[in-house]
Amino acid sequence: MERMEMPVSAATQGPRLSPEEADSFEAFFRAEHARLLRALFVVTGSAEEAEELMQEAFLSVWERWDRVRSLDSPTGYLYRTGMNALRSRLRRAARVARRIVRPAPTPDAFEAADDRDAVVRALAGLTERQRAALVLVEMLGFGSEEAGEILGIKAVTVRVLASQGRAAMREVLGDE
Amino acid sequence: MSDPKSVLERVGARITPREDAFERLQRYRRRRQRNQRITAGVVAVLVAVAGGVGVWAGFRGGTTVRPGGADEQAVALWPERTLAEIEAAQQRVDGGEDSWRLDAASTAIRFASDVLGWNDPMVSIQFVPGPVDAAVADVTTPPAPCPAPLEGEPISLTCLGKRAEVSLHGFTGPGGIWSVTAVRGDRTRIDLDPPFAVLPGQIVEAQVDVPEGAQAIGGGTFFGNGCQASFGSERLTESGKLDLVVPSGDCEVSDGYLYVYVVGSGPAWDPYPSDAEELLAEDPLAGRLLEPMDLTLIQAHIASDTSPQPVEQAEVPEVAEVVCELFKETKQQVRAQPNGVHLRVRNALDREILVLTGGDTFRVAASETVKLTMQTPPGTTNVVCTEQDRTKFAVVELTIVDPDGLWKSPDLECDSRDINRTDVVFDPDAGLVVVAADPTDAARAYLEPLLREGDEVESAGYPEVIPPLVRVVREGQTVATLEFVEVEHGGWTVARVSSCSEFGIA
Repeated sequence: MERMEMPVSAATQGPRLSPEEADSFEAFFRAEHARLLRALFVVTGSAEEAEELMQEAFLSVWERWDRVRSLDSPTGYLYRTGMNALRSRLRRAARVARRIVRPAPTPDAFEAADDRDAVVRALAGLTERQRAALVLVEMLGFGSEEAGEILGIKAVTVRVLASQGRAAMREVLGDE
Repeated sequence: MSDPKSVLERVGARITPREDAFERLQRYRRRRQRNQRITAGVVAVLVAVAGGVGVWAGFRGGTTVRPGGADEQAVALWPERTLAEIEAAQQRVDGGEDSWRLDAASTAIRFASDVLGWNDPMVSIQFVPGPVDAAVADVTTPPAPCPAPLEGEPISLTCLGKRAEVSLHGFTGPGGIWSVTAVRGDRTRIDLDPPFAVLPGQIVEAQVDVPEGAQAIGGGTFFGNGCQASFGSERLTESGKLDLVVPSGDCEVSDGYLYVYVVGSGPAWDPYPSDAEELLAEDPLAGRLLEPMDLTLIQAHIASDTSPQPVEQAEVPEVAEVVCELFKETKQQVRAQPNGVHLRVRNALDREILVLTGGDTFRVAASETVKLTMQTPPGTTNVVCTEQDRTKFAVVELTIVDPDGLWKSPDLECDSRDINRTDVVFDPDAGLVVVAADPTDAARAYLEPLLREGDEVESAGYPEVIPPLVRVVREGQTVATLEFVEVEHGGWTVARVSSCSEFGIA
């Protein structure tokens, strides 16, 4: 497997790490957590849920750190874990909704957002899968193959979802 | 339109990562590790449900039941529950791990940060004098710097500081580790007194003071032999009362804890849980950082069935021997005597203690042995050795058997609103005093105008209790009871009459 090249945003760039530091889980966390948190926030629309999913993903990586750090792309593994956590929550939500034993799930925070905010309105028109595909491909720079691996779907599906997402955003944002 | 990448990044920039994100992850991990056993229990139940053989009654206000749990009596809440677990932890600390356990203040701080999820907690600690190591920690977080609210508007919840009173005990002797045994808040209260005994199915009331925009949640978890049951209450969004319904019939639980807390913002748990997870997610000791703004958390144990158990008369002693020593929980049986239930209580400690017996409190000096007589009906009751702060440290579950049928209940069989109480003034000069050697004779003479044919006037409680007690039974129902005082010539006269309104005393 090719080593995955990850774009690093200005917000997460820090001083260069020594090999020992780079090998430590804490260094990995400090380098990656802000970007994962923001990605999950864009997908879920909920700061609280994004933070919980981020914690779950990092904890899972931490428990397997000896193995994960030797992978070609620990970061890819991290995102796959985060998206898996999101998917399992969605599955549970569907199951719980069928049983009707609890109040309705928390509404999509994007839907509840101030509709004067065109950017937020644009995202609110996307499904969670479309948002996830867009975040991986556009925001984080994964190829559709890798994004497909992370999301557990085919690359072509990623491309379709991302394309649908772009179109929906364009419709709302227009020339903004 | 801006390119999608910049749009997405603009949205992503709206969330600011916490500066203490890694520390929060560390705390989350520690709690996960501590709760591995609980998690395993949840998985086991999910498997059982899938197989169609599990008990599953979990929904809000209901109970979930999981296999697992301890078969030992609990003495603490956190980090361990049972003495065996605490002793194992002491060995680990002796081996150099977790030295913070040796300091009560540090243990309280850890509880506030690791369990409650409070940032920068501060602690003020007070050690409680008594026979065992005990301390009360006042744990607070500072209020956020906020502008004063506009007139008529409530202060933002995020601006309020947090406070909890954390009780700690050292169970392994001087210099040993500390454990959290109770938490009490300013806005929450659970109406349960020492020795915190509850019955399966019992409703325990909790009072909550909920600020605008916050919500209150209660619940509990109980453990038994190979079984663990959790339950949750309804949520309250305004001040009031929450009912905590102790699990019943699900499994043989023996002890656990009850909690009620106030959270300042939105759902503090997984928004998409399955039922067991939802209940556990609300449990402050079960693995999530709930960040409550106020919390009351107490231990509770399931009292035994209060109905008398058939016991061979010869096997049951006439005097119960109670030894008050550190963290002892025992069970005993005793046979009722004509004047009550006899106990011999030995204080094995070097300080004065309090002994609570069925509503009465006795002081027992250091190393002293005293004889007590209780007027407690047959059934099961607890004799509790406590410190001055009413923290229990030894409990004897006493089963009182009455094979001779000595006990006759003095409880009136009518609605409490229909009960009249009349104090009788002892005034021989007025010529209205009835004195008799037998209190039932005095009672008959006093009540003579009100008695009907068939009314039974007989001793109540235990027959030779001093001062005596007499009841009137009409058509199988106790309708009046009389209390007496002894007068100069050795006789008894009526001091007080309690009666149902139908009996005829206005």
